[in-house]
Amino acid sequence: MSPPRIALEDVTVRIAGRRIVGGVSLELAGGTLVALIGPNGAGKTTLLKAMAGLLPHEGRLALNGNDRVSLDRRARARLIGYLPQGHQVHWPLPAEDIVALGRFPHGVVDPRRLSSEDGRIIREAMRATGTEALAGQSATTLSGGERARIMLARVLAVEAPILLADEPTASLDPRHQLVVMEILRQQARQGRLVVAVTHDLTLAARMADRIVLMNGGTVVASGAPADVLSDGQLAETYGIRALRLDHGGEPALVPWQVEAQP
Amino acid sequence: MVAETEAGSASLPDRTPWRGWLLPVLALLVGGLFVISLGVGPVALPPGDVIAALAGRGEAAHRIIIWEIRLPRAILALAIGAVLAMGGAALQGLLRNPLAAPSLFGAPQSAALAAVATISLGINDTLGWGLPLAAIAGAFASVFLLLAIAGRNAGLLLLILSGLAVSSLAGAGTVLAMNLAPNPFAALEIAFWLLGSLEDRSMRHVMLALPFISLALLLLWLQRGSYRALALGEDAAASLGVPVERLRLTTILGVAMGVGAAVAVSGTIAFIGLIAPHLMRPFVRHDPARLLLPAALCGSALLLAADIAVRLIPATSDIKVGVLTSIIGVPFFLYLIVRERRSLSGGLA
Repeated sequence: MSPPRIALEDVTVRIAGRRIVGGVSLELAGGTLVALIGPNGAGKTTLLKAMAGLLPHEGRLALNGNDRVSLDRRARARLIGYLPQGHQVHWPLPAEDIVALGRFPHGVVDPRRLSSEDGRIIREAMRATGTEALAGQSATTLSGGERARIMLARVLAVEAPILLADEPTASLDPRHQLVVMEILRQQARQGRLVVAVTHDLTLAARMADRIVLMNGGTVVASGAPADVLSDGQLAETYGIRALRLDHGGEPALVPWQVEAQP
Repeated sequence: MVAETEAGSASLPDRTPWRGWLLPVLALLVGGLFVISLGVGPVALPPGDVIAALAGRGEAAHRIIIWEIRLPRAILALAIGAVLAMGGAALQGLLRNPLAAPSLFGAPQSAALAAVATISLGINDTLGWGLPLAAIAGAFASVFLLLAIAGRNAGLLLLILSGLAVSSLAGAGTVLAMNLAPNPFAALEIAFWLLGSLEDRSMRHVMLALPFISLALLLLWLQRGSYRALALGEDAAASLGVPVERLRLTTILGVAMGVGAAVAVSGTIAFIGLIAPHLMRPFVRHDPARLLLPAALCGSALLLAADIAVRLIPATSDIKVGVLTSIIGVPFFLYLIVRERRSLSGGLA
């Protein structure tokens, strides 16, 4: 698998005529965990959806050098795994059937009839997320954290080179926040491009290889965590001041205090 | 290697061991009811005679009763029950809501309006084909009207609202047609036709409805994987490669075609599309994809049973099968409400 790339050139997304994302240009490459951050309403989810091909956009959005529109639906679904916010499940399906949906882009219609390869991938995704024990449990009886991990397993089972996750750690306890971010980082280490929307600046600063900071529908900063999460930038976009700690040479950042509104 | 042997058992363990029995049991039930349905009537025939007559043996009178009178009726009950139930199950999958019924987008109401118009205008007397063909055309017209109101790329909410408009319009048109009926007999004919019945149907009706119903069943069944993916919501399903907008159109068109053909030959038969999927859902672990076939068989069984019951219930005038399904449907609805109340009150009740 050659390292995946997403290239955005002057991408604008309008919803009901309103410009939510305006003129975003970005180059993202495989092997990196990108944290997409920004205050509420900055356009993070909208940009992620546009990258996933779920929203029409203006400007150029290329996957691995190809214009996204030239890809057929199935091919795109195999190239991009998308984890939406909220982890909704509408029917009380067994958890393993939900994970098996990750093989849908690969032609799996019936989770009871899997090739040995599909079965292995599904089990591996559940093992990675620590959800094997939940396999037969109905989705509606899962706790919020369990459901979040099942949904992550579902996305991992796609085995797509590009992984777009919208707030994958929301509603998780501290342990599982770390577990999930570690899984995403491992995916990036395997050569994948992982983009995760998050509000957790501490985790983003620590785990991400690159941070893309959005505000008011545009990218205001992009680069290494230490560069993007400067005091000035945090004050300007979030209106907060952060506490900075040094843990044996590893810097840590904790949102600490409200600044005057930007 | 241990991992190798594990990978050998590829499929996920089946936690519903009776699943393999579900379809054969339902098929047997439908087959049994089918034979009983052929035996019930003014001339009661035991199953042995029914099967003999079907095979072309036995008394000539029995053969005529079975082949000319009761077989069309039984085939229609089987097919219409199946398409109403699968249509309901498919719409419930599309909307991710167990209360969706085939009438949601106005197809059966529009088919009924077109049918009633032919009675009111007196077209039906001269042309035996007039009413059913008009009804099917009416069902298709409802889809065009729906899309004209909502737009081709409309979301679900807009489609549901537009469906409400289409069905209200068709309902209003139907009462207008009754109002303008040329004589009391026509009005009565309309009223009785609307009740829904499978009496006195011929092989001509079967030939007319069956192709549309079969095509609708096939069309909806082919979408099953997409209905399962939709359980994760439209965005996640789209990211998995489900053509969400096309799926909406295909489902609405499939339901309109099947239900339109059903209404064309039987009038309106309510509740099958709601009850059958609901009864089968626990047996397939709520999987909207695996639900389609059992729901269809259950729908066939329900309508066959109801059509047998109307022939057995002693009444001065015939009870119409559509009336019976409606009467059975109400307690079922009450049961749904009670269950919903229980789950809302945290299972205390």
